[in-house]
Order: sequence, then structure tokens, then C-alpha cells
Amino acid sequence: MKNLTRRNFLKLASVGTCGALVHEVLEPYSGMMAYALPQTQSLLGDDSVLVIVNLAGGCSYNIAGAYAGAYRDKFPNISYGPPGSTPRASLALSNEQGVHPSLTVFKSEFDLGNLALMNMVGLQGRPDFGHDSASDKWQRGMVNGAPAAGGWMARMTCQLGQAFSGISLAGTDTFTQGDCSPPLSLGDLQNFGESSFWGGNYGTQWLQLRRSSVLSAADPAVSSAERKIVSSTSNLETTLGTMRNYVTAPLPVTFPDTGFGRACRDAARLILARPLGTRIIYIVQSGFDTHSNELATHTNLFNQINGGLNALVQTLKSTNNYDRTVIMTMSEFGRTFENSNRGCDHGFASPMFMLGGRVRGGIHTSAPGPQDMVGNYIANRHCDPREAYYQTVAAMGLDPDRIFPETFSRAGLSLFKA
Amino acid sequence: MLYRANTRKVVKEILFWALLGLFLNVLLSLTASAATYKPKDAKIAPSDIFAVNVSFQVKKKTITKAVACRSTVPGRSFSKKKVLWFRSLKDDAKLLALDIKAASRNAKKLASLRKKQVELKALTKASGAACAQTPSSPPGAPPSSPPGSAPPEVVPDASFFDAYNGAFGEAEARHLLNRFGMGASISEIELAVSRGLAATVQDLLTWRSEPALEAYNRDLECDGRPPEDENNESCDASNINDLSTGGFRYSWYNGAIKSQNSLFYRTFLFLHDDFMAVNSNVLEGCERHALRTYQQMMWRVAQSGDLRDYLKSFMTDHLGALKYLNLGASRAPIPNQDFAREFWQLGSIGQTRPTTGELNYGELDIISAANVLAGWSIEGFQDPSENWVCFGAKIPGLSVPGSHIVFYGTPYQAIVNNPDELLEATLRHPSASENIALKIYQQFVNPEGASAEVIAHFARIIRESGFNLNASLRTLMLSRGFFAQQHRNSEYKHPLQLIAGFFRQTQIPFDSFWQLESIFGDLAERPYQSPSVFGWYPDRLAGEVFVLERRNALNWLVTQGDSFYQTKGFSYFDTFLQNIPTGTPPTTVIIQRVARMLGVPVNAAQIAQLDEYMNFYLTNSGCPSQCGGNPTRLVRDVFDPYRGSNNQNGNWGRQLRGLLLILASLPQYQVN
Repeated sequence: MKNLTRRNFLKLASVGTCGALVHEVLEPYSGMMAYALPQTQSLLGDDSVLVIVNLAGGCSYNIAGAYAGAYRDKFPNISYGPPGSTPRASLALSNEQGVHPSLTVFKSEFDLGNLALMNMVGLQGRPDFGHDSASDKWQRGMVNGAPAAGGWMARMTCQLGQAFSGISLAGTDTFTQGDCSPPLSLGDLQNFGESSFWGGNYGTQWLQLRRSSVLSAADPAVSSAERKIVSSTSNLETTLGTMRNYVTAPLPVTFPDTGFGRACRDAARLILARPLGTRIIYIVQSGFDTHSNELATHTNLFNQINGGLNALVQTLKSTNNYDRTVIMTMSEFGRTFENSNRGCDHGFASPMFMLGGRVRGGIHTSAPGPQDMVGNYIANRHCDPREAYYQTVAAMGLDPDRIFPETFSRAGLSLFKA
Repeated sequence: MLYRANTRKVVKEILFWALLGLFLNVLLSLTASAATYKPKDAKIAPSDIFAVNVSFQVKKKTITKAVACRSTVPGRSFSKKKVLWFRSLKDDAKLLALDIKAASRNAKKLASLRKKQVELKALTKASGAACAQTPSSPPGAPPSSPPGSAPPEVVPDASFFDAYNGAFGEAEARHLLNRFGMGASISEIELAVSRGLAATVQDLLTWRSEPALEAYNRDLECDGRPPEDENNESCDASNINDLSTGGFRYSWYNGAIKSQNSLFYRTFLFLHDDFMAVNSNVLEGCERHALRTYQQMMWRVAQSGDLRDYLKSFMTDHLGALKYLNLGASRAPIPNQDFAREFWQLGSIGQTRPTTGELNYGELDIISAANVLAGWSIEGFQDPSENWVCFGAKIPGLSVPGSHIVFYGTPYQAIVNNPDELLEATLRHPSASENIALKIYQQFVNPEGASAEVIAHFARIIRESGFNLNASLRTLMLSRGFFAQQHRNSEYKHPLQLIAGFFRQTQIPFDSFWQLESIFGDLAERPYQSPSVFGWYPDRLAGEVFVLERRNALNWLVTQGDSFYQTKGFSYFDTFLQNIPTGTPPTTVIIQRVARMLGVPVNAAQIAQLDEYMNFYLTNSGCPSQCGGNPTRLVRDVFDPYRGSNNQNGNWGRQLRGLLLILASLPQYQVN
């Protein structure tokens, strides 16, 4: 390589700047493609997929509670001790902490070095205890950005620019909203084809055919609400046709017949349907707003999550897709220490998980200690969730600065195997 | 002596002047009282009046002012000691005349009062006509227009609250009944058109007692089973928790579909959804009674429209505040802030002031409000029948004593000592009326929001009504802006409105409450089970998933067997196919009839497509050899209402239902 003299540097910088300007000014055919990146080999591959699992409602720290007395004193009736403890023991990840006993797939993947745990994760800035406002910040990946900025999933699909780049299996949300090539919201693929109508297959088909032509012949929509419905309807029609060709292949593993299990099954189908080019999938398990009776609620929720994710991981492994997949959690906030209803109220820092064949397993930031057990909740933060998301989208070959434009402090995480 | 004589004289003199002074004072006071006038102010309920905007001219300048009408009498409303009063403009004029008389020596003041007098005279004259457009005026007077006869006007913000004087035809009646009700049948729309706008508005705002429906619903609320169910059980009167939370939802569905009090279901939904939403899942067995209390509070507020009552009641509501928003666990020394936060953010002033964008409160204010509200505990006891009952109790020892400052450092800063004072300080904040104005506007006029001008004006109307929802809605319903082109079809129908509206429009009966429960579950909207404190998200409910779910829901609703409809006394034939005039293709008539019923416009191209749908069927019989190599072909099967039967094998049973489903899938049907 040539020596990088000042003159050469200026030449290179000029070329780079002009090139970028041309890219911005001379927009290609589609606006969304203006942001497309040059094809380079990415760490996870250009067909890598990110699955975001939203534990909606604000998941309590007892998903991965610490064993220290200071921690357990704060959750006297709803925390878990190390293996062998009575009445409740978790699955140990270290001498200091373990995961909820229902989350066996987390434990097994951790032991295999495929699960990363980040402790005390929270967005930079003041804690936000409102469900919607905190969710918005997590889903926008911005603390100060304008709400109009949309979700970071939508900013990913904007870069990717393909029809099926992003699929929400959990309806529309801030995460999925954006102006440029937003993700499709599809719901349950098993029921993707609508309920059948009278007259058998052909009665249903005739109804669908004629409905499409009546919709096409409609006068232009006059209000933005109508336009939105037209757009949703049109997305649905397009998607129905294309998806059917790809997502009907049988799966090697049986998924649990729960809402979350079905979402994981559909995520598996989408990942296996490579020609669709799906790169980010959004699924949700709600119910984590555990103001009371957390023990029973958690056990129920984590059983569902474990069943779904275990089947997904096994499917991906048996089809050689695990290395190109990253599964990550999000939850709008952590919760307070135990309240008088054996639940927890709205708090701040929470643990965050990441699974995948290329994920560098281990505990990446330390478990909450006595110094963190001050006040009503864990108010200290070891890392910002955007650091993990940023690294992941970069490893997927996307431009993370466009997806996470706000600056945030970094803990220096190293989340992927070389 | 001289001294004594002088003293006597002086005393006499003093006495004389004192008596004269007394006499003059008495005389003066009598004269003064003769010059005063006691206005005939009337103590009123908010629903006794309605507001209209009146435009009048003074020196070629057009002035617009809001006037309160009590029946046909124009005037103004004002609050005194938390009581709402009405004073007529005539009384105002009399008082002003006296003021003018009294100010005769003050030229500057006199000029100002005279100016006021001229304005008041013009306003009184113009208001007479505006208030006469009330329900007490004879029905049938307003002109009507056939549907689609003239496009609605675009109304600028400055004229939004002008009284609507345009046509009140089918399109306008439908717009009104859709927005301020749960959808309407053709006969209800025709009735509204014949009665005119003012009378229809009055009808909407009048609560009607429906004893049969109410008794049926009370029964449902006990065990979730209707009276006709063989396993139906009565409530155990000795146990206040003997109720079915599912039954409460069923009774809501039943009323939304069948009640004449459609506006109140709509406002119930609005209060439940757009203020502080609740989810009955948080209630333990010993607290289920709280659902009934919450429901009663919501109905009381929906009927009275009294938002002050709503906010005050919500502050101690077991389900809403104590359980769902954690006030029940809020106690010294560190009170839970959830309720304080939502009381402001969702229930009253919002985070920012709508007209200026200023932040309304900071974290310190939240702490103060939480301190004022704190001190609750949820206690349990066993009633005489040994049933456990839990209730919220305010425990002095758990409260944070002392005074607390809210809205610190703002012009609205206040020292509050108790929740009542917090409520009043909140309502004094200009953001309260503005934020409520915005919520109402977004719910009933246009979800995209309004200009600062419209919000400020509407906020004033809300304040003048004493924070009365129904009086404010009346103003909206009678406004020019509400009927403007830019606000038509601008709202997504909530699932509850969509499904209830479908039943109301078509009169098709539903199968069972279990069916409705399942449908509303799929459509993600069940009353008393909000997904979050923010209620439901209309934008999200308009996504692809819900387009599909709505299709499936409607499919399920119309594909019952013939025998089912017979048991319900309903006939598809009688409802859709009777009286088809001869000489017209029946399908064209039916398509237009169903489109009108659902309120969706269809153009010629769509009619042609639908006509083909009804006169053909798709088959694979004989294919591909007889189908030009295609896997299927179309076979002509002329739609004949007198052939076949009303079921899936009958010629018209299937096609008629298909027509309903196609028309109901049009985007125009998904919006209001």
C-alpha cells in the first residue's frame, strides 16, 4: 500500500467525500437504496438474521438473579438461590448468579459458549418508568431523538431495502414504524391464509380473487387513515402470495402450541426461507408487568419462552442456520425490589441476553452487588443496550451509525467470536 | 354658664347633623338599591346548556363569540363555589346599563362600557337565532340532501366552531352517528335526517332507561351466562365478589350492539381508553367487587359528562388507581409514583402543553404529587358469610404529612395539602383543558390533531362548561368544523366499533357471547382489559395483522347455518332481498343496497366486478382439459333469490355473504 502522506490523505478524503455526495445526490431508482451499503464481507454474513425478543412489560431482574445476600434480601420471597437452595434454586451461570429454572435453553447455550449475558443494562439518561415512553426509547434506540424518528428495526430495513427484510410477528409497534421500507407486520403464519369461506377451496378462492379486483378498482383514498388501510391491505395481498411459496416447508422440530411458540416457529420458517432475504424478525412475549405474584407469572412466562426458543435453537442448529442467527432480548425497563404483593414495580437496570452460534458466550458485565442495592431499584448501569445492538448490526454488515445515530457511552463489550 | 350653654348648643348641633347624616345615608342607600338589579341566575347542570358560536358585526367588523344556550335563551355559564350557574344575555345587558349609569362621570370607563353595550346588543340579537336551533324547535325543518349529492366543504380553523348550517343528509347523519355512536342502521340514519341535526344531537345526549337490557346485562355480569342459558345462576347477594369479570365484558358487548344509548358507550370507551385505562386482570378474588364500582363510576360519568367527577373518583378507584396504577402500594417514606405520573400524563394535563409545547411538570412535581396521594393500603377482612373482601384504605401513618408544592416555578405553582387540592390545582393549569380538548378532538374529530387555535378555543369551551364532556361534545357535534371534508373518514374504527357497527347496520344476530369474546380477543380489544395504561393504539390496529383478523372475524359472523338464524328470528332473505323492483338486475340492486347499509361508496367498475362475483362460481370441474389448460374455470350461475336456500350450498346464501364480506373489507369500511 502507498505511504499515507498528507497529499495522499487529501486525495483519498476528497474522493471519499465526493463519492458520498454523489451517492446522496444522485439517488438510485429507489429512495431506500440510497442508504444501501457496498457489499463487503460481514462478520456474520450478508444473510445473517437478528431475532429480537421483546419481554414486554418490563422484566424483573429475577430472570437472572444474583446469589449475593444483599440481592436476595431485597427479593425475600421471589428470588432464587444457587443450585440446591430451598425453596427455590436457579440454574447457575457462575458462582454469583443464575438464570430462572425454567430457562433451560439459556443454561445449555451458556454452557456451550453460545449465550452472552450482560448485567445491569439500561439506557443512558434518567430512568423512565412509563411503559410506553420507556418502550419508545428502547425501540427507537434513542433517548433524546424525536418520536418521528421511528424504530431502529425500521431503520435497519430502510438500509436493507427489500420487501421481506424485516418481519414483525407481533403486530406494529414503535420498533417497526418508519417511513422508509418499514418491516411487514404479519402475525401468525399458520393462519396467514385467512379462514376459509363457504364453498370449499374454490368458494374461498373466488371470494379472494374478486375481493382483490374490487379493492383494485376502488377510488383513490381520501384520508390518511384510509391510505394506511389501503397500504396495509396491499402489503397483505402481496405478502400472502409471495410468502406462501417459501414458508410452508416442514420443520424438523415441533414447536409448542402457545402464542410465543408459534411466533418462534414462524421465525424459524422465515430464517429457513432464505430467498425471502429476511434479516430481522420481531417477536414479543408480553405479561412481564409483574406488580404482584411474580413467582407464578415468571414460571408460566419463562416456560413459554423456553419452549419456543429451545425449539427455534434446535431447528437452527439442525439446519445449519445457527451461526448466521443472533437472538437478543429487550425489555423496556427493569423493576424495583420486591413489593408487598410479591411482585415488583417499575425500575431501571435489567439483564439482557444474546444467543447464537457466533455469539461470544459468557457474562460480559458483572452481576449486581451490594453497592447496587441502594434505594428502591437497581439504579446503576454497566452498559447501554445500544452497544450490543450496535455491534450486532455492524456484524451483520449494516451501517450502525445510521441506525443508532445518538452517541452513548460504551463498556467495551466484545460480543462475537472471531 | 357660657361654656355650658355653648356645650348644649354644640351637642344640639352635632345631634342635628348626625341625624341629617343618618337620614341622607338611608336615603342614599335606598336610592342606590333602587339602581341595582338582581339577575335571575340559575343553578344548572352542565347538560342543561349547550354552546354555539355566534358571529355578528360591529362597525363592519365580524366578531365570533361562544354563547351558552339554555333551551332557546342565550347567555353564559360560570362557576361559583364549584356550582355551575347560567346568566342570560338579557340580564347581562341590564347589569351593563346600570354600570353605564354609574360611570356617567368617568368618560373613559363610560366609552369602554358603551362599546361593550353595542357588542352585547349585537351578540344578543344574533344569539337568539343560534339558540333557536335547539331541540325544542320543530323537527323536520333542516334541509336534507341525498347521499353524495354535494361534497362536504373544507372548513378553515378560524371557522371550526361556527354553527353548522349546511345540509344534514344521509352522509352527515352517518358521519355523526358513526363518530358519536357505535354505527347505525339505515332506519336510524333516515330517522336522524328527518329529525334534523339539533334534535339528533339531543337524542344522542339523552340517556334512555332500558330496563330489559339492563336486567339482562346485570344477569350476565353475575356468572357470564345469559338468562336463557340453562345453567344460568343468580348472584349471591351476600357476597360482593360474586361476579364474573368475563360477564362484565359480555354485558358491554351486548349494550354496544343493542342499546339506544350508543353515545354513552362511545364515551365510556373514550374515557376507558384515552384517559387512564385499566385491566381487570390485576384484581384478586377478594377484590372483584372493584370492577363493579369502576363500571358504575364510568357509567355515571358517561351520563353526566362530569370530568371533574371522573378524575376525583379515579383518584380513589380500587381497580384503576389503587391496583392498576399502584396507588394502593404508595406510602411513606418513598411513595410509588405510577399513579401520580399517569394522573397527569394520561388523565389531565399531559406531559406538555398542547398549544405551546412547554413541559408541564418535572420530576420534583411528580414526587410532590405522589406525596400528596400516598398513604394507601389494601386491607382484607371476612364478611359475615366468611367471604374475604379486600378494599383500599387510606392510613394516616402511611401518608406523607405536610404541604407540597406542585408546578414549581411556573405561573401555576400551587401548595396542595390533599388530593382534592391537587385536583383543583391540576384543573387550574391551562394544560388541563387544552389536553382534554386535544384528546376529545383526536377521538371524535381527527386523530391527527388540531391547530393551537382550535385547541385553545375548544379548551375555553371545556372550561366554561365546567369540564363537562357532554356539553363539549354537543358543541363539536353542532360545529361546522366537525362536518368538514378534511375530517371525514379520518379515523380508524376501533374493533369494538367495527364489530358492533356491523351488527347494528346489518341487524345480523351474533352466535354467542363466547364468539364475541373470541373475536375481540383476536382483534386485541376487550373492554376492561387494556393492553397498557395507554389503552389501545388505533395505528397499530390498522396494521396488516388486523386487516386479516377483521376479515376472519366478519367471515365467522356471517357464516352461521340457516337454523341458527331461524332461532334468532332473523332472515337474510327478508333483510337483504325483499322488494327488488322488477326490470332491474337483482344483483345491482342488492349490491347498492348492501353498500348503502354499510355506508361504503362503490363505483361502476366495482359494481361490475361484484355483479360477476354474484353470477358466477369458480370450479376445477373438467379442468384442465375443458379449461384451456387452466386449473379452474368460471361457471355462470345466475343469482336467483328464489332458488336454492340460505346456506352454503344455496345459490344466494353464499354469494350474498361473500358480497357482505367483500364490501366490509373495503378500506372505506374500516374508517369513520
